[in-house]
Amino acid sequence: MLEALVISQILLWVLVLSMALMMLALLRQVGVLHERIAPMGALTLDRGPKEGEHAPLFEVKDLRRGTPLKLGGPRGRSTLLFFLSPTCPVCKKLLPIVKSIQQAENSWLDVVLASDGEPVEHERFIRVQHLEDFPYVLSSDVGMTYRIGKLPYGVMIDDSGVIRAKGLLNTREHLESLIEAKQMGVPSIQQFLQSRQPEGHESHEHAHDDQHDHAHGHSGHPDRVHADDVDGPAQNHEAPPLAAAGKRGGK
Amino acid sequence: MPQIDPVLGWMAVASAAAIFTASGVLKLYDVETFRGAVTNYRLIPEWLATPFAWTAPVVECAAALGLLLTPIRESAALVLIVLLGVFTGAIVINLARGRTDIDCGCFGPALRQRLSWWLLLRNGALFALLAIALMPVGGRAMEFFDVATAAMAAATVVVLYTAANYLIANAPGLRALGALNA
Repeated sequence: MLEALVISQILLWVLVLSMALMMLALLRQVGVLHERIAPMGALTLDRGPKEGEHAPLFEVKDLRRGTPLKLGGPRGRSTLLFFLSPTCPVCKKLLPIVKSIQQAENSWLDVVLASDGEPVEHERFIRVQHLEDFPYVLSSDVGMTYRIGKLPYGVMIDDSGVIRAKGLLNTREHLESLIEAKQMGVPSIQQFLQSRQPEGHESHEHAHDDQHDHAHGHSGHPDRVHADDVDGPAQNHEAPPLAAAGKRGGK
Repeated sequence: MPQIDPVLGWMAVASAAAIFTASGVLKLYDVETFRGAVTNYRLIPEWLATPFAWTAPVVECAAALGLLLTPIRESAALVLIVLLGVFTGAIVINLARGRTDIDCGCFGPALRQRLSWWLLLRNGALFALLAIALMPVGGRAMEFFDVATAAMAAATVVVLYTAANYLIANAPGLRALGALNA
């Protein structure tokens, strides 16, 4: 009898612990799913102006100097738009790297910091983080147009005003990939790998297939596909439906 | 103070030690991010943020390991209760200010949780665990089988605690989806 109890106890503990572990794994997966389908700036959703398109033109003012600043359009030098906020820890982590990039690539690149909100808060942020050398733009318009959901976000605009690369930045490597993209003329490592794929798969065609699949995957939600048709006549049908839905909530 | 069964006591001690060591190590793993989270709470001056970001996790780890040593268990548990009280107070103040968009910073960069009342419930569970760890154990000696039970129970508590934290971290994503469909 005692032996039976001991065995049953051991078995139960093993089962309880494995169930708890399964639950943990499930919840992690739920978290990953949320990130994939989140309406706000998940990496997989390519929203806003695309790579290869002309950057939208903005006439903005530098926060500290008050001098007018043009974003987009041909200007002979490339621009790295770095979207940040005083409350974002990763932004602060990347700022020293942004500074060193500005120094190293000074010959061809201007880094412009962009954010929105109360000027007082940002002036304090500039002082504390020693950002006096950078043009600093406060404009919710710019953020809205580029559809910035998560920070820090970088957009690389080349000397002729064309967007070369963009994306959510979490590490030094992400930031450097924008510089690489400009110098190599390939927007992302994914496209670079695809363009090198053997067996005559032309890179462009392949990318097209991918996007189409993506849109197709979402077409299970008829209302969203519909929203895309109604809301975004200017966008081609491959645009992720969620982008259109997000726009409704945006402004 | 009432005595509690040693199995229960060891379960609480072992799981609390694992939980606090892990969260301390995760904070130290990326101190810069934790420092950012600390400044976002807007409770201490900027120049204090760096020393605090280093000290708090180190104290957390040291006290967590101290729990495992019977002679200093009580003081280690009290240190953790104070530390947890400071963290909880910071969360309450910022919840009251309505600054719920900032990262809790509880697990460094490993898991991002926005501030919510659920975090207080979670910290309440940690307080309960520490309270059990503070109680004197007695009544009987630990046998081999008790050790096994305590170890399995502690492992289950740690896993369930982590799972609960994923639930809390996922909640804002779910709400955002709900808003999208509405």
